[in-house]
Amino acid sequence: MSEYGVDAAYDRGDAVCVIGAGASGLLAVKNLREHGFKVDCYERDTGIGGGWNIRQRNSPMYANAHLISSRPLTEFPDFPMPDDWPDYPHHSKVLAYLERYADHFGLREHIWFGSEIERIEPVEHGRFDVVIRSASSGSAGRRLRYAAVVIANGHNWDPFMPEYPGQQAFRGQILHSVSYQDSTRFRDRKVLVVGGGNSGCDIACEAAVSADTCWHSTRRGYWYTPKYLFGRPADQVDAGLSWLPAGLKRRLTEFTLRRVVGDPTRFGLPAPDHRFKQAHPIVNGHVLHHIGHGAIVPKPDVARFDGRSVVFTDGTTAEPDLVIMATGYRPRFDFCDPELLGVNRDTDGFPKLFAQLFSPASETLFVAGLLQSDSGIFPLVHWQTVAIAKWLRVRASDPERAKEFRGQVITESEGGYAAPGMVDSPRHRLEVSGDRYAASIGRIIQTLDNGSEAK
Amino acid sequence: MSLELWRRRVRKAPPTRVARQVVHQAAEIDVTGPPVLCVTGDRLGAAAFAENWLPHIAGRGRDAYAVSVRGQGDTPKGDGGLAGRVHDLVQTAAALPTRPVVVGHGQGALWVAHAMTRYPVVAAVLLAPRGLKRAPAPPTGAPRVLVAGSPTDRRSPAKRLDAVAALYGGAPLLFSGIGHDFMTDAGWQPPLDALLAWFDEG
Ligand SMILES: Cc1cc2nc3c(=O)[nH]c(=O)nc-3n(C[C@H](O)[C@H](O)[C@H](O)COP(=O)(O)OP(=O)(O)OC[C@H]3O[C@@H](n4cnc5c(N)ncnc54)[C@H](O)[C@@H]3O)c2cc1C
Ligand SMILES: NC(=O)c1ccc[n+]([C@@H]2O[C@H](COP(=O)([O-])OP(=O)(O)OC[C@H]3O[C@@H](n4cnc5c(N)ncnc54)[C@H](OP(=O)(O)O)[C@@H]3O)[C@@H](O)[C@H]2O)c1
Repeated sequence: MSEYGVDAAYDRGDAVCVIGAGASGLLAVKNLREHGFKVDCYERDTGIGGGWNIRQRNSPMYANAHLISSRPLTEFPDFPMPDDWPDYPHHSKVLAYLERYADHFGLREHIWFGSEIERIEPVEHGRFDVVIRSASSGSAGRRLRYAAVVIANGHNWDPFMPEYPGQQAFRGQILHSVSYQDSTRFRDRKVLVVGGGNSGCDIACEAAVSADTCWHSTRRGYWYTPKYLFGRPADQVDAGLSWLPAGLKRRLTEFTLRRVVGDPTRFGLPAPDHRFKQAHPIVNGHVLHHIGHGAIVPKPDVARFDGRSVVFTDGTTAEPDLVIMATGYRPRFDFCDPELLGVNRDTDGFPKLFAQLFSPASETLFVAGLLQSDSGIFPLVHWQTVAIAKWLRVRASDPERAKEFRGQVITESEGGYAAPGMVDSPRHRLEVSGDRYAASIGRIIQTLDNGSEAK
Repeated sequence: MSLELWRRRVRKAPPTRVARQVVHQAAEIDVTGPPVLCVTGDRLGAAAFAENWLPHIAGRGRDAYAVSVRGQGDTPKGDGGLAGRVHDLVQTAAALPTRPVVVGHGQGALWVAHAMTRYPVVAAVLLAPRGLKRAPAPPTGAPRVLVAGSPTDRRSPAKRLDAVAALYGGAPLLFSGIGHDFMTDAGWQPPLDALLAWFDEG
């Protein structure tokens, strides 16, 4: 590829552009190639892996992060992780797995590293102009034209920072969990961790064993699911119960957790304010253990900062040297007009896509991996990218069927994919029930395969 | 691969790991194509390929591998039955540096047919297949599939070859002058050369 100015677009014909070479981007490249498409993938970093690459700027990983979904439920459906790996591999192993995937399927030759997508613009006939800037040289961008664009830029890298009264004048240090890498910075310090997601719980457990004092502030009660139940990975136990009616399965799980994990209020935590799976699951068997050791002191939500101290909503105070805000992330798409992703006044800046995948404004624009699930993400994104490839095939070969299909996708999206009654919190905007979502993508793929409406 | 197949699989407990015997012979000249992975239903397992096939394949410029699935050769017995053996085969294929072409001999053809439904092999030969009555599910990734055998092999008779080939939308390739034992019979080389030639066409 030679250099092209920002105004004259170099036409790449039928090729598809993929933005990002994290897990989702790699899946898109592999599955599009398998369905016969030419693919150019652009990655602003110098390597693959996205968030799992702890060396990447803005990687949300930290030294002790291990998978929370077990190996068989996390691996790609058509490329298993080695079965001599542990049930919950370390993040460095997940990166190694992605590297092997890229090599095994020969994906690297389709990836342009150090290339940031600056802008995508729809042009005539459903095609897209894509402006690419070299991440290092800072020279003017190249403009290329593609038949379709798959956005796979991830949504766990732009930190969300809450703001509390008095926070600006706080005399300790405040960091978001995105900048937390390992526990060396906890040594000889008093640490407050805010947020009860998996990052908050993991980091509180790190502070429990390495900081002077650790307070953990959560603004509601949660179900703390351990990694193992009855000696088996908890998600495999859960998957094995899929044959039960949903209501019964939930009651059984809640009963088991109450018996095995116990009553959180005994530990000074609030009782869950929701049913099991009505919040993104915490998978962590150590928080209660450390509370039992006195190594984590649970606290409610922060009310305000006051000089050296933090005041909690129950009126108690703490004087941390360091506050880690593990308050999550927001999706961000600087390179694209929000309307293309269905962002409007009612969506709080979150995209609203058909089937959480297809742009509502363009038939040739997709976002892969823009979801959170109660199970592993990789398989869901695998099926998303298979659906994209099949859809592009049908669209090219049979416009009539394509129109019909678009109708089905809209219907599929109507019920939403989250479990009913999810806690109303911004992070649950992207939450799906893995089971429901897989079933829906399954119907979409079936329709694309058969050409007729599937039941 | 169908999504439904995957959903059903992950709801069951995965087969327990066993240490697998994998025999490897590196390509002896510049590599001419994807590695070849062999499996047979014979109790010998990988050893059945060690004497003739692997050196010959390596000599033709391809990395040559053979695996013993659970209960064969030096691989201990394990749980899972058919699913366990297919698991061993898929694990072996996915552990190779790049996607292989696969040869399944006898009962091994059945395991290959199942493995193909959830791992995209580049191409597959079902050689003197046994136990394959119905096509398990369509292969994923649209690999080329060839059914081959011998008209005089009573353990994989010509009628069966026709039926299996029809499952994959083709006709069988027939070799005369050989029985079921494609790996150690005196006439092993011409059929193997023909299979390698078929791989080269892809
Ligand atoms: C600490 C942590 C642990 C997790 N554990 C699990 C788990 O156990 N199981 C699970 O299923 N999920 C887990 N997840 C979710 C995780 O986000 C997904 O597994 C997965 O990594 C998402 O991959 P992705 O490719 O969508 O995004 P990312 O990994 O974020 O990759 C996006 C890529 O796009 C690139 N990019 C972005 N914008 C541009 C641009 N404009 N131009 C070019 N390139 C760009 C980025 O550089 C990056 O490489 C975890 C997340 C976190 C934060
Ligand atoms: N080990 C692992 O594999 C691992 C580790 C970390 C993260 N992850 C995954 O990565 C993703 C992101 O996880 P995350 O933990 O970083 O973020 P997250 O899931 O979004 O959790 C954010 C937490 O902060 C709380 N919070 C948000 N805004 C707040 C505010 N204004 N004031 C007080 N509290 C606030 C939330 O409370 P609410 O309950 O009210 O929303 C929630 O407890 C998830 O999918 C997670 O499963 C996995």
